[in-house]
Amino acid sequence: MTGSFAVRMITLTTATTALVLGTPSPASAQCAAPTYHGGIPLWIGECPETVAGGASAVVWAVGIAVAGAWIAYALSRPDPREAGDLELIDQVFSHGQPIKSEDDR
Amino acid sequence: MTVPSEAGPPVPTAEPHRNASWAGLVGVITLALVLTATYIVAQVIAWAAPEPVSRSAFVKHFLLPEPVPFRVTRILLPIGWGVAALLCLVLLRTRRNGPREAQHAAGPLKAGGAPGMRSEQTVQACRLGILGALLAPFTIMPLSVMVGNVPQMLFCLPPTLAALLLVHRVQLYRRMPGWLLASGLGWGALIGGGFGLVMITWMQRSVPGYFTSGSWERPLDGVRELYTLFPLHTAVVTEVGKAAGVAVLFLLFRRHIDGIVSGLVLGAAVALGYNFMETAYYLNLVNPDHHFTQLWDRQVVGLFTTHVAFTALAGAGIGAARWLPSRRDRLLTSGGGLLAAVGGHFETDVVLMRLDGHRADWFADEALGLLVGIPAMTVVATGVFVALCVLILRRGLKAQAAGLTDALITEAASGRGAVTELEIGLLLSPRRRLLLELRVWRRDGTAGLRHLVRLQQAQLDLATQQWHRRRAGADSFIPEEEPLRERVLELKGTPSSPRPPALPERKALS
Repeated sequence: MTGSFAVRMITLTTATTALVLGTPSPASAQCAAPTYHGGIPLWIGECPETVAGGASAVVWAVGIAVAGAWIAYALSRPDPREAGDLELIDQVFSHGQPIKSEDDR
Repeated sequence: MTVPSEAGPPVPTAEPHRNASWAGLVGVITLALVLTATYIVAQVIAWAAPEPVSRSAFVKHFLLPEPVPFRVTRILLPIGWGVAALLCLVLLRTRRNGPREAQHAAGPLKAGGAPGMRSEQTVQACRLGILGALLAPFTIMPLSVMVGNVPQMLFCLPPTLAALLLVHRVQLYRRMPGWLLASGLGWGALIGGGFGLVMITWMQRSVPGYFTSGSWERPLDGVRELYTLFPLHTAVVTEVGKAAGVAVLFLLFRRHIDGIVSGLVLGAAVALGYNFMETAYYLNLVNPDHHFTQLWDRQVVGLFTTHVAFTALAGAGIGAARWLPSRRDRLLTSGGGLLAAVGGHFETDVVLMRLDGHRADWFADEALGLLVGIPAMTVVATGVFVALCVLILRRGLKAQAAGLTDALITEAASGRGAVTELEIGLLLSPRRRLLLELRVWRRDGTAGLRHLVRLQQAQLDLATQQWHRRRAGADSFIPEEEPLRERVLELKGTPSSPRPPALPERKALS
């Protein structure tokens, strides 16, 4: 036994409501780790929303920038093997018709 | 330029392929029935739940109004079952009475075509109708969630599509068609997501009744049970819904899903769709001021580390099952993948909740807890599963490289011109192909790039199917070699073999 009926009922109701059906208070931020069971996490605290938004934007911007920089680097550097591959593929296609653009077809 | 169709089986072997695809459709209907039966079980459990009445008024908190999209789904599903049952009757009548009665049962048909063909068309239409009637109602809840959060969805769309592109490029050699991955994404977002949401909602509505009706001798044990039951139930229903998507696409388009790499990638695509829908669900659930945290959690930190990792494991199991000769082994392999996915989902949910209780102790600063704490906890919770995915992918790619090497050498030695000896090194080096694609794109534009990619993918497809044909467990879904070779030669612009092209023949037949 752990306390009175009312206390136990309140404990259970609060926990279950928060886990299953609870909605966050508009005044508090959901700064808990994400859940993957369709319910709201129990741990609720202040959350720096601007930091979350900025971090998301920065991560994706860095990802795009890295990809773009790699493409620019790959296109700009002279590599004899790549030139050889380009020559090879030109030879492959030179046996037949030249590549036509989509509009010409 | 005329390009033959991709699968292009020659006319003499078309019948076995058609039968195989129909058998696939029957398998898909079986899977839809499994999802339906699971839903019915949840509904019966909810109906059998005791009324949440007690001496306390607190239980009224459990009796929140039924969400409208859920109610609509609940009504539409039995209607769908009724439609499916009617179509089943039409199907049975068609089969029993033969082609002539089939025409009456299905109404007037188009002019032309043999009666047997019409009967087959009726059967096919009935099967597709049954499938649609069983599955379409599941899309209501995800669609309502997404429609209600259009601006937020636009935020989530670029990360999801970028992730899908990355997943597509992970197939370093032969790639599945893009539409197949898009179909997986669609299943994950609409059918898998809808099935998950409906089942979770049933659980949410039935648990309070059971929970408040028990004795109150050990309330803490009850709370613990609930904490365990909820993640376990959600892990099972969501992973089953997502894995069903991989299985459905596998059964319908088995020619493209040929091993652990394609299975894993397809699983990841389905999971990206589910993650997209789930983000919308949570954005709908929390206060709009807190949307950025959800985006950080689900579209950055958790994008590849949660749903994608779990369903990729289930997909790898389904993909690996293709070449296993015994039915028992196939079930074991695909079941093992699904079990890993369910286990990963459950473990992640439980461990993340547990670790999050200590986050405030480890990270005094809220911003640090968000930026470092949540990613670190996610790595702890899901790192094993992500590492497992990477290892499986690496092994699958190695096996592909080995199989392709032999097949490409054989094809080059045949002297047919589809693959030359000089091209083998290029085709077997994903890095060189990527750099070449970039250079061709810069020099010839998008048209040139697309042509190059089509050619190289056709060459790799030809070699892949040759490799599969030599396998011990080679099945009837492997396409004929000659049309694949003709397609490569056509893309190269070289004169084709004396054999007449396949496409005009098929056009003439239709």
